[in-house]
Parts: sequence; structure tokens; C-alpha cells
Amino acid sequence: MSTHAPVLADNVAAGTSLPTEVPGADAPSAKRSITVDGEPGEVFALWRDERTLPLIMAHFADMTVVNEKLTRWRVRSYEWESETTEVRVGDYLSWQSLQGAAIPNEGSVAFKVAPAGRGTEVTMHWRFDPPGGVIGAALAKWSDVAPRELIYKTLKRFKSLVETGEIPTIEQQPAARSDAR
Amino acid sequence: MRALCWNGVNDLRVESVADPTILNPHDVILKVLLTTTCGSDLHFIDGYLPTMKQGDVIGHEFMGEIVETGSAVRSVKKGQRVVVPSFISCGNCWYCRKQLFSLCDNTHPKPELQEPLLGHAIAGIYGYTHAFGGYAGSHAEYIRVPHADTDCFVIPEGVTDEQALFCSDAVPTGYMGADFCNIQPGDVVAVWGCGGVGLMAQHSAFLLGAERVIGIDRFPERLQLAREQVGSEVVDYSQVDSVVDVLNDMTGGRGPDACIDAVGMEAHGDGIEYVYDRIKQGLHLHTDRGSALREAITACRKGGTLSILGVYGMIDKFPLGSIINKGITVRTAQQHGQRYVPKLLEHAARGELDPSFLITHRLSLEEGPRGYEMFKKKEEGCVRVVFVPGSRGATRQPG
Repeated sequence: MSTHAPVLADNVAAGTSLPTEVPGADAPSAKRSITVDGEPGEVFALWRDERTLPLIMAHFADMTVVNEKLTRWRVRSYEWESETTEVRVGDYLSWQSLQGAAIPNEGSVAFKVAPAGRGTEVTMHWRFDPPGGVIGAALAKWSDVAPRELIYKTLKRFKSLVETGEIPTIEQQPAARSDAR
Repeated sequence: MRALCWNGVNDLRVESVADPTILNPHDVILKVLLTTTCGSDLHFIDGYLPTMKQGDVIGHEFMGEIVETGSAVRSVKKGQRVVVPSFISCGNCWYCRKQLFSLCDNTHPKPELQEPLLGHAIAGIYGYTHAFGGYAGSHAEYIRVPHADTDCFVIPEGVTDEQALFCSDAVPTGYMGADFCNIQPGDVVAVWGCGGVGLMAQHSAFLLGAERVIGIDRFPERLQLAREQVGSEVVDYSQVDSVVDVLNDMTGGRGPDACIDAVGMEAHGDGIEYVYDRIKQGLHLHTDRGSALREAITACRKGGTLSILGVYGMIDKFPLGSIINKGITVRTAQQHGQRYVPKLLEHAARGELDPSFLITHRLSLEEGPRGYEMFKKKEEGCVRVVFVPGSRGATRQPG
């Protein structure tokens, strides 16, 4: 168990907390883990670096970090803002979408030391209400991926960014016919 | 630039495609000097592997000259002649630090496609299926090489392009297969397949101290290469009743100490078992024909080593009981090329290794489809076709 005391996000810096929107109890959710090189404190700090989230989420969302507490998200025509709800430095953080979110969601990331110097086990949990509250088939229409894959890819991108300073890509380079000259 | 592209099952075409550009800071762009066919390409050309896309540039065994470097590249520079292993490795992750380079955690751009197939994603590879990363391949005038500091090996003076080319895949794959066998004095190593990888596995077994090496194939010209270029004893499996009996007779009834499968999922064979495999594969009930692998398991001596280099997907009728009861150690991997290439280039520089005899045909890139046809059907004694992309005056447009 962590010895870090919980710090509520509205103590973090960025002004007043807004009402959040919790996804429905039956909303699709998933949890996945990945092991990343580095101590939990370092890995946590890299997750919190304001440049990180827009890069590791870029495979499905266009997002910006407004401040330490607030993030702004766009997936196709759906937009929402999320607020950090809990931060335990080096250990855990969670977030929730604000009221009126096109896709109500909540999530968390936990950081735990892996055995024998194998790094940090990063576990991400995410729960979404798809647009209109329709689950299942409708989900595919806004993201083309299930939460489980979405989280997996996000974590893989984070790991590569931490360990190599870049995210693997083949953007524009296979199946080159459409760009032939 | 011009490139050899997959367009469907048994449909390869040379097309004009966009030049590669630097996408990540550790990338370089290589001008491809030589690039060669590999038996594992036939699996997706023949339609046995899914997740190819129309227009994919194929090819994964190559060497070339660096023409452009990304901002974070430190140990190689423009103008250098380099050889690049076919699997892409970051050099930083836990697996790369353990020298298990083809298990790299950080070079697969589409791990979500591979995880359901394998349980975990491995390294990306050039010019293969999208489940293996979808990177553009080397049968082209130029190629993007990520993580150049880890993956580009400068070719020493005195080692020719032709010698260095096969240090990209056939030699390190074969060498790794022999290395897996933990060869001891007096050991006999049998190798199924006398193609590029099989011949290199045989040569490597000698380099690592094998007493005797036995090559198994049915094509006379390949058996001749094994005998004359490598010094192996050979068995033509189409001319004997039982390869297992022959190998037992050649080893005092013990069986080979180590057996290397350098054939893979499109094995040929004799008898009912081959017919069974062929029908099931045709119906897509399984992907592989496994005659060579089964034979290697049966032939291997008690307590021996089975080293699998051939590429397989799903296989049934797998004689696991023989492995268990004979206490066979099974070792396998896709090539950890980055572990071996420096040593192999040293062997080549000292004249102890010259894989250039694998080249039976040298063609321009424009002749790519014909080259693969010859390679697949083993026409004109074809062992390896090498394409020379620059042979019709390559022109490059900077991205």
C-alpha cells in the first residue's frame, strides 16, 4: 500500500472544481496493465508531463492539457472536458468528465513498483458512456475500438515514449498507392 | 520511387510509390543497394498469412547506404554502408537489454493486431504483414529504418555488398539456430532445408564446433551447395524410405544431437501425412504443413535439442509425446539479429564466412514479380534472387 496521502485535485492549483458526470453503471469499461522501465516516481512524473497525454492519446483523440487539473478532448465531433479528481504523487491519479460531456467517462492510472528492477507496473482503468448512452454497437461508431484495445494501445504508446523518446509509427508509409507519384 | 508491392494473393507489381521520409528522431533513410527474396515472403504471397494490404511494399533482407539521418541519430551517419536486421529493435527495452531483440517492446506500431494472435506483441518487421507492424519493405529504391543507432551495422572495408546482404537475415537466423543447439565436441547437427537459412545454419554449426552436419532437402542443386560450399553430408529425402532411419544409421543409432528446422509452414513431404496437411491447409483448417518439423522431432536423439527457425502459424498432429518422452529441449525465436551481426561481419572480414554463394540470380527491381516466380518454383536452380534497385538509375525525391 502506498504511504502517499491522497491530495484532492482542487488543491492542485487550477481554480474551482466543476460538477462532474459519472458514466452509467453499465457503461463499457476495461482495465489493463503494462510494465514500463523506470521507478514509479519517474514514470508518474512522465505521465503528468503536459506533453505526454496529447501524444499517447493521439491514436484516438485530439486532446489538450489546459492546466494541471483540466483536460479538453475531441473524438471526431464529440467533445468534453475532464477534471483530475485525485492525485497521489508517484502512485495514483484519477479523472472524471465534466457535466455535459458528449461521452461521459471516468478513469484512473495506478503506478506500482515491479519486482527485481523490472520497472513500474502501470494499470489503467477507463469507463465510457458512448454518445446517447447507447452501448455496444454504437461504441464502434465513435472510436472504432473497444475500451480494452484503446487502453492497451494508449499504454503501449506511453511505454515506447518513456523508453525510447518516440512512438512507433508507419504513418503514410505502407500501402503507398494513394500517395503514388 | 519504384517499389515491389503486394496486390493480392500471387499478385506482385512494381509500382511508383511515395519516397519514405524521416518520421521519428531515431530514423534514417537508406538507399537500398541490394535486397533479397526470403522463403518467409512466400507465406503471405501465397495467401497463408492475413493482414496484408494492397500496395504494401515487401522485402525484409537488405543492405544499403545512409542518405538521411533523424535528429537523434548518433552512432551512424550519412554516406555509410550498412546492413540492417529484418526485425526492428529499440535497443532500450528490457528485452533488447537481454539481447532478445526480436521480442522488442517498442517497435510495433499496431500491437493490437498481433496481441490476439500471439498473446503478446513482438518487434515490428520490414515488408511483412500488418500484424507484424506493416512497415514498408526493402524491395524499393529507399527505405526508412527506425532506431538506426541500434539497427544499422556499418559494413567493414573488405566485406562486399553481396556478403553483407545476408547478414541482414539468412546468416543471423541460421547462426542463432545453431547457437540454440549448445553444440558440444562430437555433436552431429541435422538441418532440414538447404535454402538460404538452412545453408547458413549448417555453416554456423561448423563455426560453432559441430563434428558433422547433415543437410536434408530434395533439390539437387541445393544439396550440392550444402555439400560443396558448406561441407555438409546430405540426405535427399525424396530418395529414401525414411529420413529418420537414415539419420539413425548415420549416427550409430543415436540420432542427431541437434535438429534444426529451416523449412516452415510450406514444407513438402511424402506420403499420407503430407496429403492430410495439404488438404487441411487448402480448406484453411490449419495454416501449416509440418512434415519437416515432425520428422525432426522423431529423428532427434534422446535429450537432444530441436531448434525451430521455420515460420509456423497453427499446426496440428504435433508429436508432443515424442518431445516429452525423449526429453527434447525446444528452442526457437525470430532472429535476434542485432546480437549476432557484429560477430558475423567479423567472420566475413576474416574470410571465414562468405554467404554470397546463395545468390543464384541478380535482377533489377523491375523484374521483381518474375524473380519471385522463379524463387517460389525454384526454377533454374534458384536459391536466392537479389534485386539491385539502383540498376536502372534510381532517382530520389526528398520527402
